[in-house]
Amino acid sequence: MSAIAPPSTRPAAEPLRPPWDEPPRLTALRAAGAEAARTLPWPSSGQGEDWRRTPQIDRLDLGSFHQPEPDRAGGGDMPAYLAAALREATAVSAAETVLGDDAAGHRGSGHGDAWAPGAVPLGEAWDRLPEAAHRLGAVLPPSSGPIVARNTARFAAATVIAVGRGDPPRTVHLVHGVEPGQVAWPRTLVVMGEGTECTLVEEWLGPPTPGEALCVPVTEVLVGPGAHCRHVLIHRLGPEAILLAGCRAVVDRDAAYDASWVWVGGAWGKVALAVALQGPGASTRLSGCAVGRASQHMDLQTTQAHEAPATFSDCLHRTVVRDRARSVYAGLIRVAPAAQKTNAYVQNRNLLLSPTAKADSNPTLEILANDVRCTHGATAGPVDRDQLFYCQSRGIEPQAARELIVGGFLADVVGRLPLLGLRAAAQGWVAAALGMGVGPEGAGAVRTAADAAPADG
Amino acid sequence: MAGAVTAVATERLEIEGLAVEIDGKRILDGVDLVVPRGEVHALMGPNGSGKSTLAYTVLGHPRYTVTGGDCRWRGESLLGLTPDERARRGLFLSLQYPTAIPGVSVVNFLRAALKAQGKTLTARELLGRLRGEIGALKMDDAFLSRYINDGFSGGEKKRMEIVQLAVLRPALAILDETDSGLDVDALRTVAEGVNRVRGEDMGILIITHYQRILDYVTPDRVHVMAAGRVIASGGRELVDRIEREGYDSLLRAAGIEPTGVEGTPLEPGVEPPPLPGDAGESPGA
Repeated sequence: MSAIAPPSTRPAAEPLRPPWDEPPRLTALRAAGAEAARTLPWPSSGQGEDWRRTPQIDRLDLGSFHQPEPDRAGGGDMPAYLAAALREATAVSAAETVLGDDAAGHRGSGHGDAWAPGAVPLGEAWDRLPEAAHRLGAVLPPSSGPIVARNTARFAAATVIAVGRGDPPRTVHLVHGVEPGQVAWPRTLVVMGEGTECTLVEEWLGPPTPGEALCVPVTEVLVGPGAHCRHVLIHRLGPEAILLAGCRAVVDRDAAYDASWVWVGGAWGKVALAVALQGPGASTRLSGCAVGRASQHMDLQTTQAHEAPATFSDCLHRTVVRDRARSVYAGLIRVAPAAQKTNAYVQNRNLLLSPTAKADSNPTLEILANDVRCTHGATAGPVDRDQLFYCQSRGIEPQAARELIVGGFLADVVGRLPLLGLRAAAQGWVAAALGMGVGPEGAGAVRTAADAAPADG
Repeated sequence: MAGAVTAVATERLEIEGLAVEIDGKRILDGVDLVVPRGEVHALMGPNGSGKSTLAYTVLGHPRYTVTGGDCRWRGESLLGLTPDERARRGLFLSLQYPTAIPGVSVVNFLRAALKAQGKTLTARELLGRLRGEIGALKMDDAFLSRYINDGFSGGEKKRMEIVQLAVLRPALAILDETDSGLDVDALRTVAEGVNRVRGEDMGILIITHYQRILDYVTPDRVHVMAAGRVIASGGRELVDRIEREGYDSLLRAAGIEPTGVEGTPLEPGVEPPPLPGDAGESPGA
């Protein structure tokens, strides 16, 4: 592999050897991760489509990021920004809140109370949730790719959320932090039994002080028959942070996996989100937004894989980019020969608020069945002149009119977030990212009874 | 009234010798028209005569280039002002094809408009007023929280324009073919809405292709436009004459060959306006 990247950019792929005993199966998984990391080529912008528009990957020097030594006894006091984030998460989601265990080495008993039953660090999960924990690596095996491989070798401890058949619905808000100069490898596994419901909010944030940082989360979701998973991804990393995220959900018959995302952070990043609809009647609704300013670069890749008949998918990604920010989007619908009666949609809309902002959009269909309905669409452009005129003809000043229109552009994806508190918080994050006074239906907006009804589904 | 120049700030819209081009093509060719506050004027004319261009130009749509003449409100030239500045001085345009703004609810759109015009209402006052006007236009309360004009039928959009007119209470309103595309019941409802707001505080210019709406809203003055200028002005009897004879005799009297003015309308928005971001391929692609 040395021909592909100079040695300095080759990340450490040694399996992590934590100072505690790990089950042999986990040790073997780490070894497989390390081996895959050695053999799979590290991505580069020159190889294929995946990274062509995110050349930052070529300059990424993984060796320059330090991974703190895992410390079972606890890494000292929890950093103030994470403590604050957990408090905020509790308020926002009214959920069980969990500090991602890979949060830059801050682990152990110091905040053990934050762990809720069923959402536990892997070391404990292996004992307490053996059936779930043994699925680690089942949805995203080390061979999935070089980034997943490295995460598998290096994560300090994973968070496992197991919702067993008959359990009440669960809502978990998971916070992952990262410190300046460090790399975090958050690993999350969700295993949902038949007919269960779970809402998982994953939030990435930090570092709290200036400095580069790298966050490489990998999340696996197994949605059992008839189960319903709502998954929210919130990217609020600091302005110098890099995010390389991988997430894949496998959805069984008549089950639903709905993901939504709000991406406002980071210097640059790429998120790969894949859903495999493996059981008849499975469905997925994916929707979210990226809001970029300055020189932020936000690369999202979604895959809707229809592998069983009568499956449904709908993906909507909206971006607003200003200054020199850039959005890159690739959305793939893949319909296997067996997946007759598939309905699949993918749409990407981009609003460009400055002439130097950019949006690349590439929705793609790969259809191998003959009885399907699939559509894809992409648009990019500035704020519509007729909308602007309409607002102005009512006396609204151009700047306020733009804020109204941009807020409206994002309102429906923000409105699809599953928790009311999260929606309100997301409006604030989006408004801040846009540098605007109010977000979608923002502060002081008049609400009617209809607005207050949960906009589920 | 052509050439009626006054330096006195009066409560009226004065259009004088107005010439307008779109993309280098002349559409208005010296329009003269005065609409005082407190009066209802009708502006009629065949397709392509420039009626909608006049409406958009008075509100300052950037697509239209004024190449001559002037347009004053209360003695002040509007030509250097942005559309929002004109609206804040009391002007209002009911659009022929109202624009949808997905994600912005009716109530928040109007709240922003009222705030911009310095008319601050509490949420309760705004909701109360809106419910009243929406009910008067025979629309459902559910429209309050719907996105403005998004997915509305043509008739619902027109009614919503009148709701806005009633809530915003401008000093001078231009209604650009608000009657077009309405069935007879909707037309009556809209006309009743106009009659409710008309009064000495409001000047209204009703632009229409047909006389239908004028059966319900009686104009104080009637003007006929053709080939980019006003070719006739008069009272209600002008409407009757057009109903009887069509435009042809008026056109001939003005030295215009009738067939020459029919054709593709040049007003904007003949196509429904595109959604945001529909402007085409990404420049970054």
